[in-house]
Amino acid sequence: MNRRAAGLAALVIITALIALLRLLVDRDPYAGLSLAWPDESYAVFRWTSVLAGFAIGASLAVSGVLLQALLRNPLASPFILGVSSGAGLGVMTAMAIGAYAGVESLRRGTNAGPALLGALAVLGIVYVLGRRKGLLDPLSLVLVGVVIAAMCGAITMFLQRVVPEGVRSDFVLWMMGRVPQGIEFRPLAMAVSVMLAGTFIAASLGRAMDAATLGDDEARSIGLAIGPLRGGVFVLAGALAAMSVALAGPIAFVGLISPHAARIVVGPRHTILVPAAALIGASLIIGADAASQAIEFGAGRMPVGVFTALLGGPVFIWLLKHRDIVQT
Amino acid sequence: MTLVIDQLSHRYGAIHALQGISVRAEPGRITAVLGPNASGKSTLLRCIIGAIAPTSGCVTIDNQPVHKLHPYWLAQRVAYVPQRSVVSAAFTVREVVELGRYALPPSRARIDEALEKLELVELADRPYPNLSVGQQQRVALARAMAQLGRGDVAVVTRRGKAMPATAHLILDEPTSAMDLKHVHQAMSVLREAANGGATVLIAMHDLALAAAIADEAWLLHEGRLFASGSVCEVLNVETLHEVYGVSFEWTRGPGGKPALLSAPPEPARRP
Amino acid sequence: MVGLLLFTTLLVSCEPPPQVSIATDAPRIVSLSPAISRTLIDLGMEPYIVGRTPFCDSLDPSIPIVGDLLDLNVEQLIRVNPTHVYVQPPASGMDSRLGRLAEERLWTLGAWHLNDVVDIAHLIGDLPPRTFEEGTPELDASLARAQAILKRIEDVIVAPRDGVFDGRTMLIVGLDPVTVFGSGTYLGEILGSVGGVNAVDMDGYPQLTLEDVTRLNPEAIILVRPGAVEGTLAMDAAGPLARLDVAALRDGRVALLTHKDAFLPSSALPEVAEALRAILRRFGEGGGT
Repeated sequence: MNRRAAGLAALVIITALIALLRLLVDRDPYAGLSLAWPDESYAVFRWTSVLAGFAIGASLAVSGVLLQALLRNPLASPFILGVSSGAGLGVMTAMAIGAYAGVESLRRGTNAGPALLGALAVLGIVYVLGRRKGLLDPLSLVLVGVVIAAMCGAITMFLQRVVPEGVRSDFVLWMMGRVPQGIEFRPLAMAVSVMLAGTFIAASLGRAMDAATLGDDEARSIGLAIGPLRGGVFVLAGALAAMSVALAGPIAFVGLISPHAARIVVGPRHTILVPAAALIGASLIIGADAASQAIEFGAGRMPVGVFTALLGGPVFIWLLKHRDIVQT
Repeated sequence: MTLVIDQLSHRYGAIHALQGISVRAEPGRITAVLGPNASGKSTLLRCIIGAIAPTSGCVTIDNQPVHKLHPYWLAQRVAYVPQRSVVSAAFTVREVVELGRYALPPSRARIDEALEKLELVELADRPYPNLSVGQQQRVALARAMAQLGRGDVAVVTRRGKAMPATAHLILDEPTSAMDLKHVHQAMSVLREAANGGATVLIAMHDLALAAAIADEAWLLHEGRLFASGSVCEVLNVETLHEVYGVSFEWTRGPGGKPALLSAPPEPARRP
Repeated sequence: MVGLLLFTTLLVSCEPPPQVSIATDAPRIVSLSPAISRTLIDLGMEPYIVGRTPFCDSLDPSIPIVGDLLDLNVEQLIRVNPTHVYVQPPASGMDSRLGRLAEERLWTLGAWHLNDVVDIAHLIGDLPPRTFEEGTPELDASLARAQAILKRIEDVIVAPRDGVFDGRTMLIVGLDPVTVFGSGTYLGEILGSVGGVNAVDMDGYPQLTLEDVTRLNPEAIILVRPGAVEGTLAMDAAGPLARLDVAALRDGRVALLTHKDAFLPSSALPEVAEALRAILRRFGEGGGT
């Protein structure tokens, strides 16, 4: 227990340091890269980026922990339920409606509203179809999620074909994923509160999720009402993932990697695993955002998703190869 | 009379897994649930723990129909050990055993006791998924012991009231992968629980073992209760031949106790 | 002696920063559109540009990148401290942050849709008065350049059309799938104005199957490949089109338009139009490249 508490404390410190790095990374337009406290005129953009990055990364990671527990599958991640495809379809539909009906507010592809709506709609469908005998069934959930994601992808492609030329490239950019810069106060406050509330609820469900690692019958026999837990975990994971996708677009690997990394540091108990994974997810996104802010090869910033995938891919393969020491 | 099964039937689609079963289990006794493959043993056990609702009839514990009870309430009276206990997380053995106290007040003493009884103290800090299947079965049994191993339990309800209740231990092939020494150890642990007042129900394939350790037996055949009563009555050679299609013979085992032997499928050839 | 002097001059010119000395109250322009950047250069306004997109490759690469309309780097945008921000709004509308920042920080925000030749002419005429105060020599100088460019555009359009190939010509943007400049696009318009005839009588950028191309049976094909290596054979670049049985291929009227700004609806228009006309003249004489 002591080792685990120390691990969590170390994660807090690492996250704080990475957030500090993001605050200090300074790419002077003329002098190049250095570390410097931001000038008042643009400091607000760094703070909001750190907060937005924290909300996005922690939400994805907690969503990953919840889904891996819900589906009893170490490879589960928020996107397996079709969340990102649903959000993508939402964005594309809004762009198409905007382009044809001339609704200016809908034409903005980076709007969070349609993404959130699309993600939640897909979650609802997956929830209804992923049930067997009134209970959410892990295998059905994954299969339905994959099928619905593929269908959303197909409809999105269809819409991409029928919308005017310019709208397509906007969508491609949305799909790359990025930490929004200069985000307005209201969406930021909402994202941060969803993340905090979600993490808190998830951690408080920790003991129940521990019990749910047993088979259904056995979990029930030790006193766990598995049906309500699954429903709650599903909704919570979906809301967290939908919020982060709406804000940042789909960012690969964070939801998958963070829970595994957290298990290595603090062990498998969910009550401590949830905050640990949240911190790791936040560090990953804020760190990737710092890298994206610092590194530039004369062709503009790299999308954050590029860094998370480049880092996440090898880490994940390592995890796969060493599965025996890193069980779910 | 705490565990009563009344006209219980269960159907999976068109398949009648259980038909009209009425029987009761006694506290302080070990009851073996016997029958060939697909005779309905596991379905019966799952009905008893409330995991599946009966198509008709019901199972009651303390006069309450189990499939309508909240798992939290039930867990204070019924512990269950499945054939194969899968834990999808790298919990240590001790952490898995602790899960047994999910619906009960935490008790380090009960956990230590369970670990000791099943010789798991040395494995206590090992990750559960790394154990052999036989070791995992011992952990599952220890988990059930930590839950209700003392037989007669005082149940603390959610409102904080303590009330006495009978413990029910429902086990589905709990020792199938254990070595003989640990099988015997497991059986003595279960006997101890029964002596403490628990109702113990074990589904098993090994008729000889059932004959050796059980007080009562229920013999299932094609979803019906073919015979029930004391183990000697149920396991008579004619009944067994009818159900299993194999010849059996009662003999004297080591120490002069009666023992059940089955005829080998064909004479073994030895050089 | 002369060598030493030259060397010193080189050294001095290498000294940072090689910024043109302009008055402190001079405009500081951020261009978020490659087409606008190209036009600013032709209007002699490059020294006032302090920020660009990664795609503005006609500009000095040392000018800081401030992102583009879809991924705006707000922090960098503020740090280059612009007075004027010029954009070509995308189809999905403009970044709402840009309007907000411009309002807060009193930037002059200029937005131009650049769909056809008239739009380009408007941009060229608008940029100088939008940027410079009235009566300043900078305004006069850039207006004079604007006049010259507009005159060149006019010249190209009204130039005699004799010798220009007037068979149905297909302007191809992409090969997989085959995507063409339709009649309403800016390059489609230029084709018409120099005397060519667009084989595709549709608006926008239609996508065609190989079957469609065969049925339309263009008499000439021009592959628009900005920055393609000189000497690339048009037939090599034509990909699947090279196997089609259409008039253009039978008569050898296939060519590459390689002007690097061929895709930019900008002040490069006269150059692009000249290049296009040169190709059509060659076709008129009865041969491709």
